[in-house]
Amino acid sequence: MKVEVDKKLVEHVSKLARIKISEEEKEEFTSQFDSILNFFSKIDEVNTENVEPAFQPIDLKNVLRKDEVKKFDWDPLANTKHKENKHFKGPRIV
Amino acid sequence: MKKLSVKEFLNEVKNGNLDLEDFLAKVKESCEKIQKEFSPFITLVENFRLSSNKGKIFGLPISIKDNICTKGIQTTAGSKILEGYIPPFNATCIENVLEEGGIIIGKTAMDEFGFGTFCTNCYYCLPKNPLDKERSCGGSSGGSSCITLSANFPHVSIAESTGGSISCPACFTSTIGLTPTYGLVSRFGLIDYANSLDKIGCIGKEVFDVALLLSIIASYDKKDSTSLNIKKVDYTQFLNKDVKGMKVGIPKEYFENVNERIVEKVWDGIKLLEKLGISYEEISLPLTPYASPSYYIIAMAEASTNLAKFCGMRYGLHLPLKGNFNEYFSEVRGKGFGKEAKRRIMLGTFARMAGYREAYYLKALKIRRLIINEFKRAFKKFDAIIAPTMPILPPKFKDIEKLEPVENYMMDILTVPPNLAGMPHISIPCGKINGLSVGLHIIGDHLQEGKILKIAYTLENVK
Repeated sequence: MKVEVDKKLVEHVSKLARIKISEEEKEEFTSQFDSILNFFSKIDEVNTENVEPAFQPIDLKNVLRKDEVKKFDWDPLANTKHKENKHFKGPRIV
Repeated sequence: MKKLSVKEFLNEVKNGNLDLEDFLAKVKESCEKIQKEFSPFITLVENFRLSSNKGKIFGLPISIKDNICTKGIQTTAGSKILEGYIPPFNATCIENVLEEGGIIIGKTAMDEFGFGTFCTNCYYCLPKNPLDKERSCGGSSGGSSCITLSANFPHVSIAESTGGSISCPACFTSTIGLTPTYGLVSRFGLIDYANSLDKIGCIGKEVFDVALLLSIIASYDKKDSTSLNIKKVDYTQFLNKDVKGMKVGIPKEYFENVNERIVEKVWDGIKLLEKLGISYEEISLPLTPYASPSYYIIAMAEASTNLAKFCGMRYGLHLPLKGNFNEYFSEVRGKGFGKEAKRRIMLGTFARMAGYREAYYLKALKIRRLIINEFKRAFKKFDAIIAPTMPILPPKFKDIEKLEPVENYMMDILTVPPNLAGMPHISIPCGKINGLSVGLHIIGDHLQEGKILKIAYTLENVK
């Protein structure tokens, strides 16, 4: 697939990926993404009609477990700085 | 300190000939010296404590790639975004090692989240190749290969490969790198890069070392839904030279665009194996050139979802809570991720976007299916496939700096195909060129670790 990479596309993807990038990075990524997508487009040469995608390299079965409560002995809040009354404290939602 | 192999060391311990407290003190001293000279560690453990578990590797120093969670020891996956993270639990492979009496000595340097071929996308420290300090140790498990070669004490490292991160560093440092079948070692506690590709494995000085470590860390684990439910195997039982009648395939595509002197060395190795009774046949695996772009698309797509959890809330880098959640997360991720991480997350996001998902992500997964089938057909006829591990000698840091990202990705052309297909593979030293090491790659069918270990052991012991 041929894709025209421009600064607008890079900005759009950075927004979707929730990564703030600098003006410099925007410029740099625009030209780099262009050559990387060009490298990706090599896959167009392969005929994949009627081929099932391989989400895993080896055939796996779905594994289910009982929905049971298990106790754990560690503090989930031990690695956060943003907490209040046994809760994680997050940024504004709206 | 008397130089001992892992095997000799374990015998000495068994016979009670070693003062282990004294031994560990010397190992600590040695690690500090090595750290100053080659910097293989992101974190060096403060106190090496002897375990009360007198298991199969009682007292043996083990280093761990820093993307594997170790209870109470900082684990960063080489990223600023996880600086200061202290896991409250152990990865399953760490539990296995501790149960057998292994001693964790430190967490090894790596490209951020495994995103790199040369272990130069490093936020913390850059490991230097003990064979030539101006050159790369290989990536992304560069710290593991660095300490394995420089250690003057018995030691094995737990490393991890997504697209070649065990084989490449082993190749560049003249050590042995074993990447097992996908799912053989539990990924529980591994900070994932690409969950359908990540495999925990080993780097060691001798084939025995990696076979022993694999026997310990390979185990079925209910905590990892992709863990293979098979019986425990003692892989050291395959270490004999009983190779008569084995057949290997030599794929011509793996010798194109490879340094000519590396090609010669690898052929020397193949001829040597022929003398010992392993016949070979030249074959073609025509889909080989498509493995690399397919791999990068899949790996980046998976990385872009796996790394969504790093947002400055529960662990790692925190900033003052300002703005709405989109602004806050974007700010933290913009500051916490290095350039290569940003590139891969963004490209992976792109490959999954509406309108592009079919053409990139799903197409790549279909090619993966075809590549697996191509390998499977070859393994109907052959016990293993042999090729060079890397197409180049370990490059100098100043030359790596000049590479564009896409040129960097092309360096993985030989290691990516078995990784994409989840096939076990081992890199073993195969001579030197101007003091720099060459690696021979042995690739096996799913769960045929025994066969590739046997061939590697045979090659190791003929020299």
